[in-house]
Amino acid sequence: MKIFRLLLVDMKLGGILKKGYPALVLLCAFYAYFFHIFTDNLKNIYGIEGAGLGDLLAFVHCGTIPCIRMIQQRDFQISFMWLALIMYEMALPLSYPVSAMENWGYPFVMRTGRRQWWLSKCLYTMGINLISMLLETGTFFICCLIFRLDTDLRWHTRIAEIIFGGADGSGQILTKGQNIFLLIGAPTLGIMAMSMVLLVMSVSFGRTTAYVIGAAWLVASVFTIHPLLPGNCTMAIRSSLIDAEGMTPLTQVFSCAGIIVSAVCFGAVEIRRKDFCRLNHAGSILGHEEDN
Amino acid sequence: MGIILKAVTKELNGKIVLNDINLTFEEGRIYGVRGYNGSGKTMLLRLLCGLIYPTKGQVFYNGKELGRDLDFPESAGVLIEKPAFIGNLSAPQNLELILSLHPHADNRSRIDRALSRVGLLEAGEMRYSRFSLGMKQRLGIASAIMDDPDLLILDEPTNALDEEGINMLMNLISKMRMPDRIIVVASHEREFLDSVADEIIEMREGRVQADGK
Repeated sequence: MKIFRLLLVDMKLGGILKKGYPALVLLCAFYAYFFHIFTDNLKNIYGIEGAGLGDLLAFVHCGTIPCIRMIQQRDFQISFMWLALIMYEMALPLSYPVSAMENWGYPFVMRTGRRQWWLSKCLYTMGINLISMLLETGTFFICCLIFRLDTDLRWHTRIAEIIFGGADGSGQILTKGQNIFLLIGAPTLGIMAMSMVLLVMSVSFGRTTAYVIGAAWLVASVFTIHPLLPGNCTMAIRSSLIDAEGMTPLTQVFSCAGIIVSAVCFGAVEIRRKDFCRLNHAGSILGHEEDN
Repeated sequence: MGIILKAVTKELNGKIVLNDINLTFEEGRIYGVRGYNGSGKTMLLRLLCGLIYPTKGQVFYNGKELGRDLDFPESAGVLIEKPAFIGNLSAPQNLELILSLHPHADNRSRIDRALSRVGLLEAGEMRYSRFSLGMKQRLGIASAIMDDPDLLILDEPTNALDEEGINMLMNLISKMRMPDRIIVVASHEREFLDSVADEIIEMREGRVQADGK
């Protein structure tokens, strides 16, 4: 089928050797090192040992500044560590589809048709999100090996209680499947949902506008839990277990799936009449690099 | 049957880039589109191949309306802007990537024929990243002609070509003339267009100024 052939081309042109991946790996390695210092302090001050991969993922995706409740008696505050990571993973797939549409991608769209082109870009976007999450988890896993931490996906209730500042619910014991969902599955779905909406917005309004709106949408999820805020899924432990008005995992799955499907459908309608050409920053029309 | 533009106006970002265009393109003929930078040449070509749709008016391709009955012309080869080529692949590999969307048994011979016509067969397995600007332009032309399309659109094809390249291109365009093919070439080079085109369309500020030769 043409969609999958085009997807293969998209992954070759914009997916496999993406320049943004090394920066993501470095960012994750830095977070892992920061976590390693954190666990060293836990060991020295509280005598808590045995931190591992699950705790690291909970630490990064907790959706608040770790320990903020305990230290400052405050509720959740924006964690710039979490914000930077999610915004970066949201941005990774954004430039390629728009660049293809505005500049060089016309040989491909003319051979497949607009709808199949759009569907391929949707699959591409979600594919890049998946690769980023794999890179993130993989980097954390390797860092756990380097820092001699556990590589188990279980998160320790004692450590979680400290990360979430003693909040109720942080001490729950979960099954392995629940751990995997909360630590990896839900954040992946949340990032996919946001990236898909950003894709539609970037095709309609441009990348910069889309990204600014996306950032505001993500920040809103720090302060409110709502099915239409998939950013909540990127901090699933907090959204499911900690917050009094939380979202169940099933709600998270359905809300993300609904947002993704809506974005795909809306984009398919939008792309039917979309112009495949480029507008420069000053608003003049550029049909060719040498035209003004 | 050909291509018919009926009262076509195109507005982009609040600016009218094509204004009340009425044109007919017949099969078997070569059309040249001439005009200064910003006159609307490239926008006209984008319109012909369905990359943009008119704000007002209609574009018919063999009786079917673009944007309603068709997304794009059914058989079109286009060179507008620079198509995507991967730097660490060779010319044949890059063309194979484009043709991979339509696997045919004779893809390889199509590629070889196209590269031979533009004088790039000798480049062999040289990586695209090592190509000169002229070679890159030739590869763009090869990508447009390799399917033997019924509609061939070339926007400023002489860019970066030396005299030998321009002569090659003139011969190529002449040889590409077929009874069922429409060729549209946009260029600001008067001599080149005069030598290849049967009919010249002059564009100015989004309007057709003159139609004829």
